[in-house]
Amino acid sequence: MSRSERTVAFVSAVTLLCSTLEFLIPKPLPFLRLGLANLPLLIILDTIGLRSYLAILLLKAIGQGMVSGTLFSYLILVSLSGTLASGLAMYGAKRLLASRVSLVGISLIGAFVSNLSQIAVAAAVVYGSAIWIAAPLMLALGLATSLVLGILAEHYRRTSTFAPLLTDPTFTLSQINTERRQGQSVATIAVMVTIAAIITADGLASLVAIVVVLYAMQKACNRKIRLAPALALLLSLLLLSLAEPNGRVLLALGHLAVTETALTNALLKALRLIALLSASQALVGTNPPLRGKAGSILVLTLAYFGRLTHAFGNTTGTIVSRIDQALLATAGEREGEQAVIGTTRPVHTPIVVVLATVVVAVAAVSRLW
Amino acid sequence: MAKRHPTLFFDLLIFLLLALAVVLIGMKTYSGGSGYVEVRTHQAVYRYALSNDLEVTVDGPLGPTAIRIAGGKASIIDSSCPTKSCTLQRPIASSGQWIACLPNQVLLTIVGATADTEVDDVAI
Repeated sequence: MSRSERTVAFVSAVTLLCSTLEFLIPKPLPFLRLGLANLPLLIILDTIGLRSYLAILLLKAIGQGMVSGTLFSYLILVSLSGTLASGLAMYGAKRLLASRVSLVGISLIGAFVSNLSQIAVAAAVVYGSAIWIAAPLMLALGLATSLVLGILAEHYRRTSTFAPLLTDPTFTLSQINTERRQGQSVATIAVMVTIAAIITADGLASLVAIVVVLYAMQKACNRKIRLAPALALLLSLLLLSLAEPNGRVLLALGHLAVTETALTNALLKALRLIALLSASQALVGTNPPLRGKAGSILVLTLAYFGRLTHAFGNTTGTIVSRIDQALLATAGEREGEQAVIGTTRPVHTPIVVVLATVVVAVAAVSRLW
Repeated sequence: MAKRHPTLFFDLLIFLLLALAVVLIGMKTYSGGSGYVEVRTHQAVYRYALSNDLEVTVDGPLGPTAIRIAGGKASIIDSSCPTKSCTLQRPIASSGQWIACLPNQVLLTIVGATADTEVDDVAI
C-alpha cells in the first residue's frame, strides 16, 4: 500500500475515532452534535490533495456506516450527502481564502453546508418537506457547535505534536497486515433478499411482524439491538404527521390533530425504515466482501480504527494529548502484527435463511391481500 | 493590531453571513404556515394540509363529494347534490374562507393559512 493510500486510510480512521468519541460525549439535546469527525478534515485541509481528500470523505461516510451498521440503509444517503457537500465546501473555501481565513471560518461553513444538505436529503428520503420546520434550530445550533469546533481545531493544529508529522516526508505510517473475517455469503444473500421484501411489503400488521422478525435476524447476525434510533425515528415521524393533517380527525387539540391517513402513513413509513435499519445491521454483521483497491483501503481504515480505539483507551491526560498519544501509538505500531476485521462470532446462517424466508412470505401475503 | 488576527475579518464575515442565512431561513419557515382545510360532513370531521396536492372523496347523506387540493387551494370538484353549485365556487386558500354544499351537508373551511401570496379577490 502506497504512502498516500496509508495516509488516506489513517486520516479516515481518525474521523471514525472522532465520531465514536462524539457518540460517547453526553449531550443536553439528543440531536445536538459537535461534529467532532470534522476535526481531522479541518486539520489536514491545508496539506492534502483533492483526490486523497475526496477518498477520505468517502471512507469517512462508508466507515461510519460500517461501524454503526447503517451502511445499507437510507441513513447512508443522509450522511454521505452531508460529508461530501460540507467537505467540498470547506476545501473550496480554504483554497479561495487561503491564509485570510482560520479553521474557525472553515468549520462554520462546513457545519452549515452539512446541516443544510442533510436536511434536504432527509426531506427527500424520509420526512417530506415538513422537516424544514426543524431547519432554523438545527442550523443555529450548528453555528454554535462549529464555532467551538473551529477554535478546538485551531488550538490542536498549533499545539499538537502529531499533526506536523503527517506531512513530514521522513515519517511513514505503519502498515498493518490485515485479515478479513470469512464472509457468510449465504447469509449476505439472504439478508439482501430480505431488504427487497421489506421494500415491497404493505400493511401495518405485516410490517409490525417484519420488524419483529428483523430484530431476531439482527441478533442472529451478532449485531447489538439498540431501540433508541428506532424510537426516535417513530416519534419524529409521528410528530411531523401532526403538522400535515390528512384524513378523518381522530383527536384534535386546537390546530394540531391526529388524522387517520397521516397517522397510518407515518406508522407505515417508520416501520419500514426501522426494518431496513435492522436489515442493514444484519448485512454488516454478515461481513459482506470488500474487494478491489477501494475494498483494501477500507479494510486498512478499519484496522487503523481498531488500533486507535484500543490505543485511546490506554491513554491519560487532556483530550488533545490523549488523541495525540493514540495517533502516535497507532502510526508507529510495529509491522507484522495481524489485525482481524469483522465480527468475530459466527453468524447463524440457517436461522438467518429461515427468518429471510418468513419475511419474504409475509411480504408476499401482504401484497396479495 | 490588525496583524495579530489576520483571519478575524473573514472569520467574522463568514459567521455574520451564515447567521443572516439562518435568520432568513427561519423567517421563511415560520412565516405564514400554509394551513389546512377542514371538511365537515354530517358524520365526521376531516383535515387536509394545503401543502400537499391530493383529491379525496367524503360521504354526505346524498352520496360522495369530491374535493381537490392543488397549489395550496381547495375546491369541490364533484358532488352528489342536484344543482352542483358548490363545484362552481372559486377555490379557497386563506384563513376563514369556506365552500359549502348545503344539500349534501359538506362544509370546507380554511384554517390557519395566511394569505401572503396574492390579493384576496373574493373579499369584496
